[in-house]
Amino acid sequence: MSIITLVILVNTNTIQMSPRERIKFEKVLYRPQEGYPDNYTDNELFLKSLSKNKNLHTYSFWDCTYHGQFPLQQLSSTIVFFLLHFMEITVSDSMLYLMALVTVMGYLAIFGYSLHEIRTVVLLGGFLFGLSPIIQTLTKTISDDTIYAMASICLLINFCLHDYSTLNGDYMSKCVSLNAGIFAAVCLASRLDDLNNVLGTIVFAILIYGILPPLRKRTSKHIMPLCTFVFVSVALYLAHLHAPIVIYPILVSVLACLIIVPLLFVQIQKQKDNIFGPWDEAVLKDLGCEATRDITAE
Amino acid sequence: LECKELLHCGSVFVCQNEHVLRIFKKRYLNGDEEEKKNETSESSEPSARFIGQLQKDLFPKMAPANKVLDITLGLILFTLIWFYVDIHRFSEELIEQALRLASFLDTTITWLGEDPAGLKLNSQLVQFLELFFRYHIHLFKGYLSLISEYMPVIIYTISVTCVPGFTCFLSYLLSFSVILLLHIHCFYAYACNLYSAQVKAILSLGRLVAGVKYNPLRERVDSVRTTGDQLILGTLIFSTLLFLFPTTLLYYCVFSAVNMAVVATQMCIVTGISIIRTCPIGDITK
Repeated sequence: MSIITLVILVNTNTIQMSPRERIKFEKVLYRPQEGYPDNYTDNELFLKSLSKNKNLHTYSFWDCTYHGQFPLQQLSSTIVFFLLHFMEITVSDSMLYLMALVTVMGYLAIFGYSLHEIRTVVLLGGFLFGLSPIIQTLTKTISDDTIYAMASICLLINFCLHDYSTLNGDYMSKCVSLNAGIFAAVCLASRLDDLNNVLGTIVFAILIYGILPPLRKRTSKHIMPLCTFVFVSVALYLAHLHAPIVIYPILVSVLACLIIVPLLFVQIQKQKDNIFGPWDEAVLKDLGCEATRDITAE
Repeated sequence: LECKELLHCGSVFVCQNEHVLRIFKKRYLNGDEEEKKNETSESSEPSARFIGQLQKDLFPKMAPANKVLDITLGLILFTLIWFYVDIHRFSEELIEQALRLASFLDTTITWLGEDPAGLKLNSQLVQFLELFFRYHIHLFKGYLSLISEYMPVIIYTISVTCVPGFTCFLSYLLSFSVILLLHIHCFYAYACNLYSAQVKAILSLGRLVAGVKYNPLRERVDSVRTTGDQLILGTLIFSTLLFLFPTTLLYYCVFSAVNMAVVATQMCIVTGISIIRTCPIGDITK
C-alpha cells in the first residue's frame, strides 16, 4: 500500500497540477510544495504542537496549609514584638544576658562555630552596646504617631518581602526584610527610657527576624506545626494579658493563613492556562556534580 | 631646556582658570615653533620667556587711561589714610565690628540649641556641636584681641600698596579680609565636611539596606549577597545617622549662609577691581 501511495505521489509530482489535486502540506522548508502560497496555514497542522499546562504541579490543600504556616509564624512574632513593646516590662540584667546568649547560640548554630564567627558576634555586640545610648535619645523630638506609623510600615515591608521559601535558593529581597525589621526595632527602641529596655528590644528583634527564620528552614517538616502552635499561643497569651482586643485579629489571621487562603488557592489553580510550544526558549537541564564526575573519570 | 614637560605637570597647578588653560595649550603645546621664530625683548632663555608670557596672559596690561584712574584713586586713598583719618579710632572700630560678628555667631549657635524655627533637632548632638563651636569662637575672640594691638601698623603697611594703584590696594584688602574672617570659613569647612560625610554614609548604607552595592569596576549599582551581621550592623548605623541628619543639615545651611555672605562681600571687592581694570575710559574720552 505504501509503495502504491509513493508511486501515486511521484506521478502527481511530475504531472502538471490542477488546483484540486495538491500534495499534502507539511510544515517543512526543505521540500518544494507547489500549489500552496507562501503564507498558507493548514487547518489541521495549525498550533498542533501547542501543549497546555505541561509539567503542571497541582498543589493539594495540605501542601498550601503547610506553607501557610510560615507567614503565620512571622505575623505572630511581629504581634508579640509589638505587644512586648507596649507592655513596658522592665528587663532585668539577667533576662538581657539570657536573651543575648540565646541569640549568640542561634547565630553560631546557623553560621558555624569558627573563631571568625565568634569574633563577628563579639564585634556586633560591642557596637550594639556602644550605640544604645545614642539610640535611646534618637527620636525624642519626633511625635509618637510618626514613630508608630514608621515602625508599622517597616514591619509590613518585612512581612511582605520575607523569604518564605523552603528550598535553598537565593532570594534577593530577604535583605530588605531583615533591614526593615531592624529599622523598626530602632524606631520603637528609641521611645523607651531604660537602657536595658532599649538593648532588649533590639536583641529581641535580631532574634525573631535574623536568627529564627534561618533556623526555621532547617527544622524538619514534622516539628513545624508544633512551632506554629507555640508562636500563635504565645501571641494569644500576651494579647490576653495586655490587650484582649488583639485576640480577634490573631484568630482571623490563623483562619486566613491556614484555611481560607489555601482553599482559595486550590480553587483558583484550576484556571491555570499556560501555553507551551516549540517557540519557547530552550531550558538547559542541570546535570549535577555526579554526572560531570562520571565524565571526567572516563 | 625643554619646557613642555614642565608645562604638562605644572599647568594643572598654575591654571585654575580654564580659559587660561586653553590659551596655554594652544600657544605652548602646539605653537612652540612659532614662538621660537618670533623675536623677544627678554633674554633668549626659554624658561624666562615662558614666565614672561605667563605673566602677560594671566595679568593682561591695563589701558593707560585705566592706569591713570587707578593711580589717582590710590594716591587719594593714601593721603586720606596718612593725613586725614584717625587710624587708632578706625582700627578700634574695625576690631569692635569683628567682635560683634563673633558675638553674632555666638547668638546663632545658642539659637540653634533652643528649638530653632520649630525644627526637631537631636539635643545631644546639638549640645556637642555647641560646645565645639563655642570653643572655636573663644579662640576667634582671642585672635582678634591679639591682632587689635597691631592693627594700626597693619593698616599703614597695607596703605603703602595704594601707591602702585587702587586695584593693588583692593587686592591686598581682599587678602586681609580673608585673614581677618578666617574663622567663619573654618566653621563653614567643619559643617561642610560633617554634612558631606554623613550624606555619603547615609547613601552608601541606604544601598546596603536595599541589598545592593556600588560596583566601582563597572561604575554601577549591583545586587550583593551580604551576610546577616553586616546587614544588622549596617541598618543600626544607617538609622542612627538618618535620625541625626536634620541637625547636621541645619548646621550646614546656617554656616554656609554666613560664609556666602562673607564671600559675597569679597566678590564685591573683586568686581570693583575688574571694573577699574576694564572700564573703557579711554574710548569715552575719544
